[in-house]
Amino acid sequence: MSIQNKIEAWQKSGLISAKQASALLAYENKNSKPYLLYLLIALGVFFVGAGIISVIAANWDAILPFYKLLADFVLLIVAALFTWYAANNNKTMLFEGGLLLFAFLVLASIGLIAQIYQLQSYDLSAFLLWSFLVFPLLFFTQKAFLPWLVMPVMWFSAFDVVLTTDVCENAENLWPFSPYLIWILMWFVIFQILQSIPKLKSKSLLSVLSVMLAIFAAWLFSSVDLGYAFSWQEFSVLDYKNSTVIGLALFALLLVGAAFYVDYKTSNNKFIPLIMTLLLIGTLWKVYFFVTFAALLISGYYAYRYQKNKCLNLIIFLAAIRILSLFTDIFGSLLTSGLGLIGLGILIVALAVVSLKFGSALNGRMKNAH
Amino acid sequence: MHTKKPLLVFLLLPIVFLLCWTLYLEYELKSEKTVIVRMTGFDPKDLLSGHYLYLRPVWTETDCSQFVNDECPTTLFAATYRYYLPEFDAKYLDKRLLSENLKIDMLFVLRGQAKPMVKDLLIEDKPWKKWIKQSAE
Repeated sequence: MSIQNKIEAWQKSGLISAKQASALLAYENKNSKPYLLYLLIALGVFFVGAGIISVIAANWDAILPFYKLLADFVLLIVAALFTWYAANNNKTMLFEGGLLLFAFLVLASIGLIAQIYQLQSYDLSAFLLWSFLVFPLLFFTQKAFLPWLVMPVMWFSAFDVVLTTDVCENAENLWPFSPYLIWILMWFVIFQILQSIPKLKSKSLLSVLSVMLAIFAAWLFSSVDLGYAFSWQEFSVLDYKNSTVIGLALFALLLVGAAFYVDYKTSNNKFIPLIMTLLLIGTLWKVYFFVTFAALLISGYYAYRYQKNKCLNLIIFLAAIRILSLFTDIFGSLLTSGLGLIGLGILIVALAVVSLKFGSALNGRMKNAH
Repeated sequence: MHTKKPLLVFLLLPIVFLLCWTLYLEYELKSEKTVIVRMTGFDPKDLLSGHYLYLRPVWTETDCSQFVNDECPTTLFAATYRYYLPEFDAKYLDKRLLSENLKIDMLFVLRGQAKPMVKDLLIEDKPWKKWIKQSAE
């Protein structure tokens, strides 16, 4: 039943007055979206574009590379100026159509340059480049099409490119599952940062990111061998290039810092439980000591910096547990002796006392600073 | 709506980037550090896929004295290359390459430790356009 019929039915049944009915009808007529018109315009833009491409393609081989590039850049500039003109004159449909056309022209330009200069590509880097170039435009569109096109392309092409890098391979050797965890955490942070922007017009951008996150998380947990991922790995961080380890460490620092910062700024607790869970898993499954301890130190710093008392206490506790488990790994065989047990007992008490005093001192400083 | 300058900036940004990229590639192609690598078809039965010629380096037949220490840096080059050709020329070349044992080389621009850039396709020691023109005469 159309809205007009519904309003008439409500009026007949006495739910609304005649005055209210006419006001509702006027409002609906004013705010109704001409979807058929949108479709026709999109179809028109498509046929114009297809026609232009067809004419050019028929004479393509006869055109010199210089003129191909010149025509391409002229088209790009015209499309950009047209889109900007439409935006400045509040012509919404023309603006959205222009933005879409411009995005496709950018992709076509990348293809043209690759063809003319015989560039070789064995991965999705061309699509990654395109998605980065048009990404800022997603903040200006209010329609869903462009975000739903660009974000999945960016996600998959970036993942494809990153997976082939040495850093990613080394990270996977350092701790299985880590590149995928870092990937999903990074996108989760980006999602939260975007969500905290009050002037963000494109809700579709957030929708598509949340869908991508859900799909990726589902794929991850259904395909990764968790038993292998969390098994004890014997390897040395010294086997890897310093640049890889330092690069990974800096990235983790940035990521964890961003996570705490976003939660602090938005007064939410979306990231912190995730970080704490990862630290708990890393401690209980005895992930490589230096990696776990570094993660605990970094998280502890941020918990202190952003005044998260409970987190800080938990982190100090986990650090103590991790030191204890390291001790048992190193001196395991000695624990069967009386002296070994005494030593273990002293260590537990010492760790507990130090943790308590350290935690109290830090919490006290946090309260004073607050 | 959008009357702010940021929209114009973000619209012009891809154009500026693509222009700089094109100028950079043009500059690289003008470099004199070029080498010639012998190539052969990737698939002897079907060299062409659409408009692309698929080739792979043949290091045993390449003159390694062009490189530093007379050593061919095989790891710097890819295992396969594709070369875009106009459709008409592609079909003509396809017939000739399969029926005759023509010498195919690729001219590369060396860029230090970066991947070498394809500059030209040589057939019987001549740029392919020149070779096609002379063959047709």
